[in-house]
Amino acid sequence: MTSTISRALRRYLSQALRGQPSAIVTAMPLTLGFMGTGIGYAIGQVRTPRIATRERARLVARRPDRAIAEVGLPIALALWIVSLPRIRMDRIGDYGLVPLLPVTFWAALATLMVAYAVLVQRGTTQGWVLTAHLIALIAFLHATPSVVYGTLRYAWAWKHVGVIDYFVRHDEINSRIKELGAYQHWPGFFTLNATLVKAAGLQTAFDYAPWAPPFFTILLLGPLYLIFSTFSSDRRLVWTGLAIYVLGAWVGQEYFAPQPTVYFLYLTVIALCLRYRAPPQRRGAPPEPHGNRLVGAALIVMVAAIAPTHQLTPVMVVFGLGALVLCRYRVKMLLLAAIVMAVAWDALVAWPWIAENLGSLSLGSAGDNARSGFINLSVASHSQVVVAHIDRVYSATIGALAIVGFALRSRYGSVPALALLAVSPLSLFLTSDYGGEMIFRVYLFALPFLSFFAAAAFFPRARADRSWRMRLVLPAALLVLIPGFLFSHFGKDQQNYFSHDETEAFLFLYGVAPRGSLIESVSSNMPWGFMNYEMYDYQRFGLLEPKDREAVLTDPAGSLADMMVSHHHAYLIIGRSQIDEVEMSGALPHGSVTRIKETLLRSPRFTVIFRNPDAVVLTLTQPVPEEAP
Amino acid sequence: MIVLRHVRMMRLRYWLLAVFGWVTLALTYLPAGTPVRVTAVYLFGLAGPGLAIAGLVVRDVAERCVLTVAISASLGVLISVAMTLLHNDSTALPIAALAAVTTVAATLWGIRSSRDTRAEPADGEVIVR
Repeated sequence: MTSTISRALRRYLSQALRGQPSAIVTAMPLTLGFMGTGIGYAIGQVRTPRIATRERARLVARRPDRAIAEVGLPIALALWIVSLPRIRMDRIGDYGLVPLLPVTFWAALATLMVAYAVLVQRGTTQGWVLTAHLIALIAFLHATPSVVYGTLRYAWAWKHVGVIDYFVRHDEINSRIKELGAYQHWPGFFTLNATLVKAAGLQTAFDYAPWAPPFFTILLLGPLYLIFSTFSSDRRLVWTGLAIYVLGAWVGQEYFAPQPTVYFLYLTVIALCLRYRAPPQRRGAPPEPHGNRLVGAALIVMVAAIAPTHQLTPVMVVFGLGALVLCRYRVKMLLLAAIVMAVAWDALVAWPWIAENLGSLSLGSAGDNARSGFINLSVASHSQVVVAHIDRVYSATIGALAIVGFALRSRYGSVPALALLAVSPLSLFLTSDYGGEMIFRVYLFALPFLSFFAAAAFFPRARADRSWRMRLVLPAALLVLIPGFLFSHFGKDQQNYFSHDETEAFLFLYGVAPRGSLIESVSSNMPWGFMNYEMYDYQRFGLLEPKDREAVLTDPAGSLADMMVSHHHAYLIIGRSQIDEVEMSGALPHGSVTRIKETLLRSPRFTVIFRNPDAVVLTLTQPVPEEAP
Repeated sequence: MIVLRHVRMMRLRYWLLAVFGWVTLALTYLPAGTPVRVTAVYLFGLAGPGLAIAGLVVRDVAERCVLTVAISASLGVLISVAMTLLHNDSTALPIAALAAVTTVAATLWGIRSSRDTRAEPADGEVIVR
């Protein structure tokens, strides 16, 4: 173990000292983990110096929970660090990352959660100790891919790096760009990152983008803590709610994207409103706060920043503030300001995109919008059917736990504002299907408040329950949530993970393709668009209308050549993750893309210009010029 | 005069916060990607202006931590979007704008803090209301 840790640390620290920014951020959590293990062990030793060994053993035998709580964090950190080098990404397949996780990884999570549950139930554990456990949990869940994948996880994150690259090179919004056009009209996240990238002198946002998931998840703990502690002085409920949130957030919206940025701002706005804009007559309301006008100004600044950064969240801000107005919170003016700012941005800047896409919005079709996110299980691969069932049952379990908590807590006092905030995201179904993602966004916006009520199922009232049965229930529940999260979040990672071979193929492609080229691919699930994205046209034959897809399956060489011939340069790229995605979702029959690839490799109409085990790049064969007579 | 006296009495940490942005701006002239430049830019961009303003707005430590990042990110978004709408690709101007906001907020926070410190009664002192 010591050699594994020191080897990894030595490697990244030496790279960091050579000035590689990505190695600096990789070395930091490893160093912190290493130091945390040592400090945790030292604290454990220092806190009980006077207890004789025999006496200590007797105490541990009598109260094993105390021992677990004291040494749980350092043991868990050590197990996690040992796990990292044993994850073999070249073996990724069905169920994504889950089968690759070694036993020590599961043991690390289990140890951490049991220790956390014991500490939470004491009710007197210091906040920083519980925070350290939650940060460790977030590191296990979200920093693991950042360390072991070696490339940026999730195709959309690559595109976001590409849009930042655009704003580093340009100082204007370009409505003529059709590819990823929405990002041009809600550019806040991208312009902010472009400003920082330029000021720091970085080449690209790649250096830090892989660390966005742990960063954003840790960040979200802040507003969630403020919201939960506003409605309960029972620290057990507050900290259990935070753990349930971290384990319940499986939908993957904490990646490098505008959504988690404005989600953090949205939750901060709600937290401040709950704490500083409470109805005057509410019992237990905080006293008239200091600097009330300054709080109002801070709220306006945050709401203003949400408007140009994301399409959907300004709508959610309006629904959330509307829910608070119904509960008589003093936020009418803020609600009015949120509406004015969102409408003004949409009318003055985003209108070209909205006008073009107005037809695709399904306003009012709540049922269709809710169903659009579900994959068709009749054609999906077996592993995806299992994963889809697990994430549905998992989400329903958290929802059911929240309903139980709401019912139990209602006996001891109601919290209508939180209940209304939990159901207000359902209104989003009335707006659009959001590219089939709406159901996941609704879950995302409801989850903070569901987590509070789910925690209330364990602690509906402040009185401590010291029974053994109660002591066992919380650790058992947290242990059950671990596999639910891992399968739901990482169960599709054979398509979210991109190997170095695939990224090399794209680096080659962007190196040779001149401006105006067509880049043809199977699907959009690939590490694309991360540089010069506005210079190319893109087409995905796996996403064409069924008739056109059928034509490609029947005559791959002829159909694809016809699609590509209209551009002065056209390239076809087929990568492992694209094949995984279309076959997992059932968009194309199993084995069909491999057959298409083999047909094209044999066809005289196509020439291979790049090839490695995970990707191939082809272009149309140029006609041989006739020799002059 | 009263304000100047309070400015002089400001503690060192408020002075450091007040000049944080300008130091960061100076560091942007170091070679591209230098670790100290990268660290300063991201630390200031994500925490500098927010810390100064959060100190003025709220007193609770947890609230202050959350607002530090939230306000920094919000101001960063608003200034960078404004620069884009104005077709200005300056690297220094957005950092300078954020530095100016930080200086003003940190100074006001420092003045208030020094006033509060002076207003607190010394041991054994009785305030007659």
